[in-house]
Amino acid sequence: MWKRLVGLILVVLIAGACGAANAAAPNELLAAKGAPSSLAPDDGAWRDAGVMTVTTAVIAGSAAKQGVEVQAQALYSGTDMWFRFVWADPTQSADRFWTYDGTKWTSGGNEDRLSLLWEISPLDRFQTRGCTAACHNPVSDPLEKWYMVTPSFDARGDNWQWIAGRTNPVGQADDKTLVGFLPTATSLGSSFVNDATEKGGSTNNRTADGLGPAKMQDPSKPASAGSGFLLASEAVNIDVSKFKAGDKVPRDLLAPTVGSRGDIDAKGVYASGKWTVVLHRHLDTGNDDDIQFVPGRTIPFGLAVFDNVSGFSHTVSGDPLYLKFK
Amino acid sequence: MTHQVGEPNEARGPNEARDLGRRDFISTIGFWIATVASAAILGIPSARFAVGKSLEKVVEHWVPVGAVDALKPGEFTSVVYSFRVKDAWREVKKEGLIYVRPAPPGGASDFQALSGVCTHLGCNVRWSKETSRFACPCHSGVYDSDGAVISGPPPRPLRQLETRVTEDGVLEANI
Amino acid sequence: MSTVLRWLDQRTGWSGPIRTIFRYPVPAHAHHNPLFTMGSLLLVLFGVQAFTGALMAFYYDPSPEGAYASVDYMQFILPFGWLVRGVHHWAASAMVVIVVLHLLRTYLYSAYKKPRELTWLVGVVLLLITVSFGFTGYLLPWDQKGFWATQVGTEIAGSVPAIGSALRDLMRGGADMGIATLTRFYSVHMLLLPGAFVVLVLAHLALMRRHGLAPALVRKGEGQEKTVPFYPTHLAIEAGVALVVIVGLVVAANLVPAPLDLRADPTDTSFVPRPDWYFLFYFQLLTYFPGGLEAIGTVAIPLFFFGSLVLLPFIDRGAERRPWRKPVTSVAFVLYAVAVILLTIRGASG
Repeated sequence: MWKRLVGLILVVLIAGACGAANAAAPNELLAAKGAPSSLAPDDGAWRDAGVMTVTTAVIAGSAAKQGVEVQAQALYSGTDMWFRFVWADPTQSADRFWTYDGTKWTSGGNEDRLSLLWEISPLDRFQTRGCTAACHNPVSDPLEKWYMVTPSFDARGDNWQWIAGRTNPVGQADDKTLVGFLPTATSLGSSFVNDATEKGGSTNNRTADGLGPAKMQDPSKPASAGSGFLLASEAVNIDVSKFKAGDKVPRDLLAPTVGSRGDIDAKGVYASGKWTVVLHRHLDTGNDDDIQFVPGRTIPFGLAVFDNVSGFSHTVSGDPLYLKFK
Repeated sequence: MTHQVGEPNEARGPNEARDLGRRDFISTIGFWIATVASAAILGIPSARFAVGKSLEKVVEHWVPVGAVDALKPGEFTSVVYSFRVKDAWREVKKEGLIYVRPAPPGGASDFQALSGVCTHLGCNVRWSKETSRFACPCHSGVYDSDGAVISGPPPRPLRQLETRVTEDGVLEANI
Repeated sequence: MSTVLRWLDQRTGWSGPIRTIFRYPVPAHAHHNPLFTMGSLLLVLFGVQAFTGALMAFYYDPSPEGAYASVDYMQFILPFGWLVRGVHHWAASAMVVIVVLHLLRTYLYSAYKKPRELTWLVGVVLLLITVSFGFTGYLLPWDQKGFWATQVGTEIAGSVPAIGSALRDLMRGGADMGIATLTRFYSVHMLLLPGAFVVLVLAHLALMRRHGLAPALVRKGEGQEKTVPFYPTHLAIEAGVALVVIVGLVVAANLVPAPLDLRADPTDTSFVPRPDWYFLFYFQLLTYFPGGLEAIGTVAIPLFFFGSLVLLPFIDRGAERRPWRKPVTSVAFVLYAVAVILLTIRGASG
């Protein structure tokens, strides 16, 4: 009698354990256990991670013509989290420059961008409707009402922006917070506010009158962030006499961010018509303005791809995506 | 009608009784081990769960107090700060009252920020320009302009807050 | 020590009754049969639920805005939240299983027969309370599963002829699911049901002690059997079983964490509601009664089911206690069991 009872209990337990292990749905990004040794896009650790393929949707008002197929992967260890995104982009865009015509400067150029949105506190319906509901809400509304804010004043989202020209050269993605209110006078005009910053971050390279660049690469130092990118630490006051018509100077002064805004390490590599972007963050940053990744949680998120734009035009994942842990 | 039974130790030989005594002893030990183990398996993690984060230190929080230019020398400005914070599982607006002024010359810092919470029982103190005193309405505690206790029940001076100025010229205080 | 105890006893006079409780002689056949540990195991599980439930109430936020986040906080942020909530989750299922085994044992030994009819009736009410715990607790995380299962569950109450819609609105605290639904489910789950459970369990135990455990089937008269003392001999077995089950619950909570679905979205159109497994047979039953016949599935059959449980001791009144010698009730009992199992399987796979 006793033996049979123990046997029965075992059977029930095993059946329960088997029932719990099921495969990932198409909109589920299943994070695998593992740690890449570097942010290199071809690190061997990614071979073991499952791939979620999501095609972004064109949103009304966007100049983008068609969605982009993004392949996403995730890895996690006891303390850290990595993501890898791969998507096709016919042009590598990170060309925000001042161009000199011999007498005056004109600014131009755009960049590619990848944006992720997570919840810090509950965003109404984000879990079931995704970005469509949370930030582009409601779709039937006219465009001018589509202001990117959280659906309520009690809610905040965690926004990561990997930007080809301004954050990638310093090995970071911008860690921002999406809010439903404007907390200080200094952030008026955007509901994306930077996470707490101690120092660093990119600033405009322009003179007080805004008519041209203020800084240029120190001629005695090589451009360590790559040609076409100007680090604040390697910049000196501009000497216009050294420039001739057709010359270009980067529009941004770059510096790695220290503080909660700099929580995300990033490395994006453009090769054979594709961006491969690897992001890294601690599971728990200890900061109030970040999502905490807790293995076991089902974490909804949204994703947007910006192709050669400076602002609005992008394609987004319409349906909610879910990060799960293997 | 009740279930009729004999006494458990009734009508047994001496050997049987000793045997029974040993089995009783094993049962007693077994019962207590199992009971204590069950209680510990559930009780110890549960106690940690119940404590939760209640003993953790409060994270410091810098709040904007206002533009540096707007502060008048020698005069306290009362500032009601509010900021969003995640209180356990909810986003809440935390609010509070502080007093700031440009510090008198010779001080360690350029600004002086005092918590508006009376150190006696937590009422909010009021600044009086006329008397240059902080007065607590609850139990008549009085502090001077540096926050030191002059009279009344408060056991400690008003809490001094750290300050810093951002690149944009906004004064921030560490709550 | 003995001075303290004597002092206490002189004031309370409890040592006699306590001694009576613990010196109770347990029949040897019950001592050696694990099915006879189910009752006390249920008591232990209720204690586990009361304890883990009270701890979760430290953090639970009974509002549609806060419920989900607070449960998420318990499960994923707090130390050992997975254990406390997981054990509560698995113990709920275990209670249903054990209640059924307890009922099965009672049937096998015809322990509902005179003079134990009232013990049986109280037991049937306790069975109802046990599943009511499941129904009310399911909503509390305010996730998709709980929200939609409760939406359906209260709608079922709405199908009761004549008083249905009033019943549904009373359950919901209004015409629609909302904050009033959550707070009353919370109160019922953690105050009213446990209160009723404790009172009825005390009655159940008092009745059980008054009439004694059902004697072994093969013995003719009562009182011919050897016995063992309740403490420590039988209680050691009970405590051992409880320890095994508690370890099992912790292991289960670790291997298969208590589920937390997505936050409830009342506007969602894609969610397929599904109750917890022990309601699946009922859920499946409802699919066979469309439209005007709905009330047969929602009300008539459950009433018949519980009605027959209530009436069992009054229908089966003969002296015969061996199940194989009373084919009518035994066949009915097996049919019930087969029907519930088949419906559960179909409901789980459907």
